[in-house]
Amino acid sequence: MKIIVKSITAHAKWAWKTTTNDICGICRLDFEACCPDCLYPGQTCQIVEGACGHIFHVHCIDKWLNSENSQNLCPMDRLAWKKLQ
Amino acid sequence: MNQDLKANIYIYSENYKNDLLKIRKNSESIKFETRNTLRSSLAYQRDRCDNNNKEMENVVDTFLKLLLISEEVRDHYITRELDAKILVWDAQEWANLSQEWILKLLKDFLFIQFFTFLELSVLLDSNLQTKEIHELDEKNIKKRIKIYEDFPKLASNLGNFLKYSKVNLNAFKPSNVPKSIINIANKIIKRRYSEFPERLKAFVKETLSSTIHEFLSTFLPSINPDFKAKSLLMIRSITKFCFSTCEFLGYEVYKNQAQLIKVQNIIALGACLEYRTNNLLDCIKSHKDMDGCIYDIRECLNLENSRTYVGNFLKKEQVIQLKILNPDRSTEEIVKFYIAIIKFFKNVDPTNIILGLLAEDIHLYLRERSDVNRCVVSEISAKDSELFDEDDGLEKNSYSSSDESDQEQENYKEWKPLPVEAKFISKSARKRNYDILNQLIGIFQTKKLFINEYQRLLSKRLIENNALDIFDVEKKQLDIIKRRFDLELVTGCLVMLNDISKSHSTNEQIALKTESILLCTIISEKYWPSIQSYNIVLPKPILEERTIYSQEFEDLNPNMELQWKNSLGNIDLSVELSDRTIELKLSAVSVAILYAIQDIVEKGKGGTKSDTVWVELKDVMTAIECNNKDVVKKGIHSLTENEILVEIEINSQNLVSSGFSAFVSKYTIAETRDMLENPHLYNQITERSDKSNLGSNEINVELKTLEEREPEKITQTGVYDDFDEAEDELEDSREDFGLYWQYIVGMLTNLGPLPIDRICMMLEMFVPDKSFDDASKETLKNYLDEKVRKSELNHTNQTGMYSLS
Repeated sequence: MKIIVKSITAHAKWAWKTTTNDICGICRLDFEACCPDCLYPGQTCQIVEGACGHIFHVHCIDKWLNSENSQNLCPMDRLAWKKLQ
Repeated sequence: MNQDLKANIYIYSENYKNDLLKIRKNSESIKFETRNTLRSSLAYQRDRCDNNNKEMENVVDTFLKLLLISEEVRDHYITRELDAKILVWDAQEWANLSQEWILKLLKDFLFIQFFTFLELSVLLDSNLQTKEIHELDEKNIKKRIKIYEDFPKLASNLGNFLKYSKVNLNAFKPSNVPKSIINIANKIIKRRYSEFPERLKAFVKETLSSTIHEFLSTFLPSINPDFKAKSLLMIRSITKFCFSTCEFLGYEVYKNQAQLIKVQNIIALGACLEYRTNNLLDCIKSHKDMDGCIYDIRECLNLENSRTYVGNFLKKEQVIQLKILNPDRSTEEIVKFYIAIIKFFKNVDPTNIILGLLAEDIHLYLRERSDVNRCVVSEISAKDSELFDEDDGLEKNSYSSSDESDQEQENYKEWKPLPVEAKFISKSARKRNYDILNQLIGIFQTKKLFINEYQRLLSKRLIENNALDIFDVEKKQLDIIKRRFDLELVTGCLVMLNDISKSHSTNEQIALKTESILLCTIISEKYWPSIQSYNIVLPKPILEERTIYSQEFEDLNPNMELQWKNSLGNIDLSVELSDRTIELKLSAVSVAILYAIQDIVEKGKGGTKSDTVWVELKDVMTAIECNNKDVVKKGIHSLTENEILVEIEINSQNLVSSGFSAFVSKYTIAETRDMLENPHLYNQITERSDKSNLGSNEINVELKTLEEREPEKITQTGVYDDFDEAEDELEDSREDFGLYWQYIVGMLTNLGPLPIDRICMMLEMFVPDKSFDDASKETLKNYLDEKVRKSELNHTNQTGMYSLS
């Protein structure tokens, strides 16, 4: 018997490449879900990891950083927020 | 009077004379005789005049006189008998009568049997001259009318006459029926109007409506279905006629002509409504407009309180409860029926009051059914669902809100207030948009429940089908649903569809670069209702494709990765077997199984090409590392169905000496057509080589397989002739009971410990043509004892009971 595969339909879920699989510390939603302001998850609502090791939705942390009393600190541990490259 | 009668009698032939005199005496027994005589003489007269108009006229003449006499003697039985007789004449015979005679006929007993007249006037519609009716002897008429107070009875009589007479109603145009009646009746009314004394309106109303109802219920069912008269038209005419007659009878109804017509209408509609409502459910159920039912009801709803009448009839009389909301109907059926109800009443009643009255009860009932959510949603999202088609109207409304005021001003003349009955349904129900979709969603207690269910089914559909094929339909449906719900609730569904369209573009991008044959649906798992996926080991070719795809995906989206759902998806294959090639689509699980079996078979074959390797279910399960038996079985099933694999069943007793357990299925690749047709031939070889040390067992395998497929073959071939007789006998008996071992185990499990006699009895019951004599009982005992030795059974000597260990 010889089997020739002609086409495949498959299903997969996407996930962020992160070390921890947790929720966003600001909006308390999953990383793979989008932030509350977005409708669709995915590339339009990415996540970002800080040097402190905390991960947030980009939109969430930007909002925080733009607020006056953030003083550019990570909302979790109050260390200076620096984006991890 | 006496003189009159005598004069009359003198005219009759001598045959009647004595009889008629007897009637005068009014003795019951003679009456009976008279009837018979009258009947036979009438028949005689009729026979005589078949082809002769003159004679016919004689018959009518006689007939009239007989009627007069029967009136005199107050024997209504005869009157009716005669009417029935005359009604069996067909239209042609009536047409043969000259005008003069028709008038005579009418003149004498038009109002003796006014419904007979009705019928006659239908028949004579074409050549009737209304002015001649005016000349009817009014005194005569008035006198006779008094006899008939009992309208309803008469009406049902008429219905029966029509039913049993062979009068062909269908030959007449339906519109002629009422017209002729009314013309005549109106002419009469106009002349007689002022002379009527005062009577009670209520009485008239009541009598008339019950008359009509009686008439309808006897008459309507007897009409030929081709007779497409709108029954309302008919009822109206009949009411008019009844009114006319009523007035003629001396009940003054209304002085004002306009008011009279109004009341006539109301009664007609009322009677029609009542008649229609009784059959409403059947009409709704059949989706057909039975005899213009929809037309009728729509007309009838112009009546005050008609909506509450219909609503309450269906609700309070338990019609719906009895016929639909019934435990022995499936939820699906009820939901379908509910949709039919909504459709019907939306069509008939634009104010939606009837629906408002009914909906609550149906909703309450449906909510108690556990599977209602599933049924409703699948009904809503069924592929051929019409529910979304009607949505255009809604769209218009919701979007044209800006110029609504203009429209309102334009239409103000057409605006009508809600009927008074609107007060019976709650305010919120009044404002509701009663389209089918809304109503169905209304069944759910919360919108959230509905959306959850919808989402679950949507995900199922998207995963099971090729998502792109149904994408447009789903998108359209969701757009409609979106308009009715808060955005928050439908987010999940939106993301799901968004995933599909995004995956599509990703697939296109990747296909351009690598010519990948893999199309992937990339899902945002958090938004999809839980997807069932099993971990199975997929074959290499597929894994390779996946790796390529994953690589490309990560190139496109550097911060993302893919996590595959192994058991989902389909694969298009072409399978080349030695004598044929099969092109087909298989599920991922099936493909994994196919590769796994191919692997095992190739390995098992080793050097000798001739042998066939058979693979067991559990081997497959280990090979693809899946421990869900049902999933694997399903996968195998689709392979055998497509004739790639072939299956045989082997009694494992022969292979595993420990016991007589269930049959074990084994599979192999059906390389040739021959293997599909005679799988056991290929099996035989394997078993022989495998178990060459157990001579007798080997042959048993063969027998078993033969026995399953073609029982008669055993006797023909007699393969086991050349075996040692003694050994064979023992083997045979053991084998015999081996077949029953399952029964015995079942027996002991269900009934507890049993003595040998009971076991024999039960076996006799289970196995046809099996009876136990002492010898076979002994063999069974030996067999069971052997089981006891193998400690599969327990035996207590004191009680003689066997039990499972």
